[in-house]
Amino acid sequence: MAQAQITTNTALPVSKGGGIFRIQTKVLRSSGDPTEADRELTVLMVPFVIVYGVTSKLAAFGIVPVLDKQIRFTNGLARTERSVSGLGDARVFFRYTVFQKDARGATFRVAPFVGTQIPTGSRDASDDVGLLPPSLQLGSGSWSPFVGAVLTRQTFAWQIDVSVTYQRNNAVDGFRVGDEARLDIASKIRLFPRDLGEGLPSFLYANIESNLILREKNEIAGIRNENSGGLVWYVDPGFQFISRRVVIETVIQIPLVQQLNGAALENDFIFVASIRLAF
Amino acid sequence: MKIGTRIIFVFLVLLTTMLSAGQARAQEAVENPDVTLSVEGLACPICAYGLEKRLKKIDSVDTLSIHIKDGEVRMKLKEGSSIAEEKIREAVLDAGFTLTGITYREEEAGSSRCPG
Repeated sequence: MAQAQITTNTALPVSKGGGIFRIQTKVLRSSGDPTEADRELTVLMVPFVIVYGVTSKLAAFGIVPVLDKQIRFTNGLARTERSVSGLGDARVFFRYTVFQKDARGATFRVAPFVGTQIPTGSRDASDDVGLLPPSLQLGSGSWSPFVGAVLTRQTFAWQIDVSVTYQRNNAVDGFRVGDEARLDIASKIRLFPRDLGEGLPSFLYANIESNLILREKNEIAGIRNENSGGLVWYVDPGFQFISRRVVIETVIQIPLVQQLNGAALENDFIFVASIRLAF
Repeated sequence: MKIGTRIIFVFLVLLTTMLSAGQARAQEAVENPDVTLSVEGLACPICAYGLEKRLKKIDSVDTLSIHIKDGEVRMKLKEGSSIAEEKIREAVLDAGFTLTGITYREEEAGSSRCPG
């Protein structure tokens, strides 16, 4: 589509027979536990993303994340730590450009996408204490389909991507993660070079992205977990350096609104650093 | 967080490798192009790379340079070779852009406009 967002992958640009390899590092920190357990969760996530142009309009996406989750909490008088690391749930999806209007130095494109989450992550990880709780497991265990669409308007000076996604999560062994709907808006303006000049200069952008995420409550044996789900709205300032084949980008996702249910942990921030190589 | 340290190390190694790969074959401007293409939809450097790749797959293309501000691709052909308009049109389409014109250097009336 165009240079695409930093916090999501739906608008990554690719030509027929071409591809993009993207590796991201995401660090999520959650604290502010309203209970006496005073939980602190740190998640390091490294998604490996491959995009391949099947045709000029059809692109195939594959995302495989490696996760490292660590939670600290007060258990009686002692501070306890539990952690797990390994492969998370993968995602594959296909995007098809249904509308495209080009002009000199500008483009407008609309592309729906459809895909599924694949249960590649373990959901029976345990430590010395025993089986880890579902929220600390690496995978959901479910094949969870999702659909959405991405709209891109790009000029030399600025760009905006609007992406909507709905994911239906299926139950596995009586546990079901709540469905998720999200609206991701990514905007950027070019800071450098001021004058494009001759040839193909590298661009430096200032970015502002926004992620509105609505999650249903999880269900255990058909009963809703009142301490899960809710609404989160992130606003994400960042930078993006784009050259002919390489993109380096970073953003920090700051939660402005967190209307979480019950004692669900609030996020403090998510830091994202990412590199892309076109091949 | 031992795995965290390892992941960050791998990330930095990949960053260095990808930066090296990305800079390895920078474009050189083509002087006196044999063929100049007018292309719409080109608005960023990494998007242009797909177009460059598709055009370079055409046998008769020797070198090319993309001039994003002008929406132009300037191509030098291999000695004594010619290029079929159909191949150019297909390459630009495959890259996901809109071809609006082809200008040939050596032909008096060698400029053609493509329907939008």
